[in-house]
Amino acid sequence: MKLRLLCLVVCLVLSLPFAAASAHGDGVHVRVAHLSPTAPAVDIYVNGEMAIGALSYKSVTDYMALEGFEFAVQIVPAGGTLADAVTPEPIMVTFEGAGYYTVAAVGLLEDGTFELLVLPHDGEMAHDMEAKEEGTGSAGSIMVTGAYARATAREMEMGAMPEATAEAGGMGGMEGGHGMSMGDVSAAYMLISNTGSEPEVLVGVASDVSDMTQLHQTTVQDGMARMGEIEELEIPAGGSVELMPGGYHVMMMELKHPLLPGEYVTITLTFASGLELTMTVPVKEVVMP
Amino acid sequence: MEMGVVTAKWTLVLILGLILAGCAGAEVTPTPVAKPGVEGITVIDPPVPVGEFTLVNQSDAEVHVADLKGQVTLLAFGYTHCPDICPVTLARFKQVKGALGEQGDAVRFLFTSVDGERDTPERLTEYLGYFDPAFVGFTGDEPAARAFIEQYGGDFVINDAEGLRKNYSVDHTASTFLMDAEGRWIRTYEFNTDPNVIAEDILKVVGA
Repeated sequence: MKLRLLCLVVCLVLSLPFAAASAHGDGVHVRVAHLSPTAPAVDIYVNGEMAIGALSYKSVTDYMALEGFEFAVQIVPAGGTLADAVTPEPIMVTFEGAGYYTVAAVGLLEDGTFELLVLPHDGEMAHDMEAKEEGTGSAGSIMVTGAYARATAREMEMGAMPEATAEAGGMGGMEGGHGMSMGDVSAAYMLISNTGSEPEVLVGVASDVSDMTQLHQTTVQDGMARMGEIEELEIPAGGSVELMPGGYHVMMMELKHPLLPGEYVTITLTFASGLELTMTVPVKEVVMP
Repeated sequence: MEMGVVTAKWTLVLILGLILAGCAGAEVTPTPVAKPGVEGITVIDPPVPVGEFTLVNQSDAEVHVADLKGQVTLLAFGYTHCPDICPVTLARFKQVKGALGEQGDAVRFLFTSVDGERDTPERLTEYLGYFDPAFVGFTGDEPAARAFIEQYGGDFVINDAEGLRKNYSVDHTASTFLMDAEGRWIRTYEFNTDPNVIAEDILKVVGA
């Protein structure tokens, strides 16, 4: 868990300076995804200078604005020098024109299938779609990444209804053709970062799927799990706070309908400064701490 | 060619704590003693026979201590309106079962509700079915649940000071407990114990 946290922090620290550049405008907007499972965390050099540090497997940077359309890219195991680059020659990456792109490092170094794929997106809309898919959002100095709401149901496969359910009186309580449902309580998790120089204090949470939404904290001490509402949560200047299972979470009670994986939930975070961030986040199975 | 080149400024100091496995001195006592084993695992030795209790299972059939016998049982306490911890516990049950491989079906995964008021057998069926329909659920009124959980040194607190009987949370023991096929308590696993570690430990118990 420590490692995962570290990775999150690393990616975040690295991506912060790009956040401002990720908004609108012409030119090339690129994010980089490390999708090569056996490759270590890498530093990425562009035109001979380090641009992204310690990008680990499954990590994706934020969009960054680039000037120009062709770049020499070298990939170095994190902490190494250009002499350690995974390919002897720089990899030339070319963009066809202005727009949003994902550059994905895929394949395996071992069998020579490693390559950088340049995937163009369909403009701003694609950008918004991805923000939604990835649960990212920002307002003012607050940036949220990896937000999701925990699924409370799944579609039932045809004929997969367990016997026990049938015995217990069928699909009681499940409405709208949803499958197995866990009930009307869920939680949303995310990493909240503050890129500003002043602390931001989260004082309110809301969602479009629950009638009652609160900020909660679970603590496990001496074997007992305790949960309670917290009035406020400070996101320190230049720092971040992770909402994760067994810790802080946006508790959503009195759900209006079961949450199925693949659906989306709108969550609004309100800060003491008056800052408000409304974002659409995916519904997913719980990510284990 | 100018671009948004960024050199990471590392302002984070990462301190990696050493985890020291405690080594208790050997003590011989006549009563059951919790022995520190692998981190997160407490061995109950000698095993403690679980005393009588009366609850109902998710099919609304009365269950007693005899129903713990015949199979190794991994037990957790919780409640279905639990937004945070219990889904993790049950998702970990699934991981333990997966890690047990062929032995997975030999173990009884038991979730006992500490919120009998809301957790009817039907509710438990639906809830457990989301994770694994083979998981067993027990529920009962507060005294009955208390009589069971206290046997493991566990506890729960219903946070409903205003008596609204709605949207209340229940603080509860988050550790899980292992019983052998004779229905004797033999292990306590701390909340955050790695499911693979639990599975390995269970495999030792079932002699696989």
